Amino acid sequence: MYDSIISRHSIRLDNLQIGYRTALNKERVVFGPVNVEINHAEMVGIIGRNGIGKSTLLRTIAGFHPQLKGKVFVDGIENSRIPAKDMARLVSFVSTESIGLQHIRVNELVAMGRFPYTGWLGKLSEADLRIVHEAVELTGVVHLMQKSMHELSDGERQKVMIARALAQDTPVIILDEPTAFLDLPARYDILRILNDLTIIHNKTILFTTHDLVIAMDVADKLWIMAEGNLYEGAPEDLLINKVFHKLFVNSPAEFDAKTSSFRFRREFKKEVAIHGEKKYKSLTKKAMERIGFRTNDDGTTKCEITIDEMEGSPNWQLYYNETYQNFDSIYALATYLKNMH
Amino acid sequence: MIISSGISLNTDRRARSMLLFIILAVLLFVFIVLDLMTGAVKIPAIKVLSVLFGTADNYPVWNTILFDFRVPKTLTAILAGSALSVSGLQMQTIFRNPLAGPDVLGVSAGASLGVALVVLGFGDFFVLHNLSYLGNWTQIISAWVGAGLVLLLIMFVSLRVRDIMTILILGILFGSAASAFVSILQYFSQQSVLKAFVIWSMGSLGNLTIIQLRVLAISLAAGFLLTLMTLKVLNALLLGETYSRSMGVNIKRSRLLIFLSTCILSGSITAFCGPVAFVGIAVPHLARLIFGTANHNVLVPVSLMLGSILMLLADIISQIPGSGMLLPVNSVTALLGIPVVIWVIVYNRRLVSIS
Repeated sequence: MYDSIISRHSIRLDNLQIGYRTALNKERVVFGPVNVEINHAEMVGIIGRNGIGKSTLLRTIAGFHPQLKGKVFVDGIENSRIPAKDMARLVSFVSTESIGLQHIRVNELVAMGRFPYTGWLGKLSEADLRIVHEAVELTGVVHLMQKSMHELSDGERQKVMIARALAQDTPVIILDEPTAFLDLPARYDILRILNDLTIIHNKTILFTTHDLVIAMDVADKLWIMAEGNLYEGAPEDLLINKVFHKLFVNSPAEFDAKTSSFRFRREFKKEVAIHGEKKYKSLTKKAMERIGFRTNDDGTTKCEITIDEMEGSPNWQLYYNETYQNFDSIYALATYLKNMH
Repeated sequence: MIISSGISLNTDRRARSMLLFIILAVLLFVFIVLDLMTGAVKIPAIKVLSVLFGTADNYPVWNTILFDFRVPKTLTAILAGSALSVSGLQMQTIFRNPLAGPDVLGVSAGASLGVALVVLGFGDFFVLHNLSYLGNWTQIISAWVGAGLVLLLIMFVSLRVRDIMTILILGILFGSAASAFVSILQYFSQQSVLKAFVIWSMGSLGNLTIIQLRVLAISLAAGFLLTLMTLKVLNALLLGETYSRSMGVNIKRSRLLIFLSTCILSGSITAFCGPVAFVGIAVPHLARLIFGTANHNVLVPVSLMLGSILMLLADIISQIPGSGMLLPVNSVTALLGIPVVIWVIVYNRRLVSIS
């Protein structure tokens, strides 16, 4: 009783070790062991570099791939004890595979989500049709209903695949890289839909992604797979514990915790002091870093920039070698500094 | 009727499908009558109809010609056309390959090898039991086994190789290997059975005995029953293995059932009509094109009818109406089917990848 109230877990991984068994019955461990859980109506994003085993982990949780050791619990039941037909009513899956079939229409594809509930000819009942319609509305693809799958953009197709998973009406939805191959607005679109599903419709959502910044905005919890470990926590907890840096070992980029964004690691050989209007200062600083200047405001540098605003437009004044020079854009200033040496 | 498809949600399209379905049924009837009319002796349509419906007792000759020769042949054409088309449809879906079909993947060649082993390898047995149930069941089952072996090979390969073209080329190679075995068997066989085999290999609809027709009908009934059992799964398999599994499909069991069904359908026809080419690959595409759907609840009945119509047309053409000559039906189906296959290759944008 106590247990069911405190840990309303939807998915629990118990000492789970994932990997492959080779022909000679040797084990090739990909990742693990891991001990984590997801509560009901939570959205969890898995982040990690390519090849670390994100997809294998998803496929293992969904029951497509046997684990090497440990257990996966879905809704409190060990997944190996759940028959495939029941599993299809608990967990739906959206894979990276793009379905561009010419002769399948969007409404037909979404309706395929009702597969676990229909009879031997797959005939849809009124209730089935209602659920299909709901799924299409929730994902915002009503206007695409009569289009054939191969006419859609990548973003639209992904929404349709999510609608299909929704039509399957499962408490858990697992998605493998739902934002891959999409343009930036489409990525936000997809993750907003998923976020709504957890908040409004109490779905538990587990997804892999490479869009760390967007995922940090929407996920309740992130699983960071790095250096053979799985670090979990709210995105902010992971910031506090400096976990994201582990993702960028041997990478030309680093994670800037202050701005929760990435930037290139740079070596600075020159210094510049920047004074003046606050609203332009950080932008100017960014441009200076790009061309190899570290900002140093303590007055010991030979190179100084003063920004002021005249009649609403900014002006950059450069003091260097006892001469003054004025610029009306950051680009002009940066180009001048670049060519100076 | 099965046409009230499970996953069609639009009444306009349903009405259109219904109309097309009726047109197909009428066409099928017209072609049946046309096929019964053609032959060495031309029988007018009115007479065909009156004999068929048992209202003309005063033409015993036409009665004999129709019931002893033409009706079995027309029936064979319908069975062959529908079985090969459904088999092609199943192969295209399980391999997710628009160019799959019994002949292209070498499955027909495998069945031919099975038949050749019986006819040529055990010539004495064949001559002895040629006309009995034992001989004919042996012939049809060895065709299934031959078809099954090639299909098994291709399935094994397609687990490792995902590229459509590679699988097709391998299918052609398997088919060639089977044909090479057949040639070796031919080389060492007796002249009498050799001629029978060569005629068989050109494809023929008219030489079936009543026993063979019965064996064929029973076998195809089993094959079609398996098709009906796997209709819903075929639709799920359109989305590939991962999605099918996530919807609770038992992949191994479904594959096995579809596999058995397609072997029985294509193997049986090959056993008694010879390797009839390009019907299996072309008809499913025509069905998709005309009905604009990938739903098997529609495609299976449509392929049955379209396949029958195409086969009847091939049979009519092969008799070159009015000339008294007879072409191998295999060549006619190839000439009818190949343009469709070329069209598929030229217009299919996603041919190279499996999706």
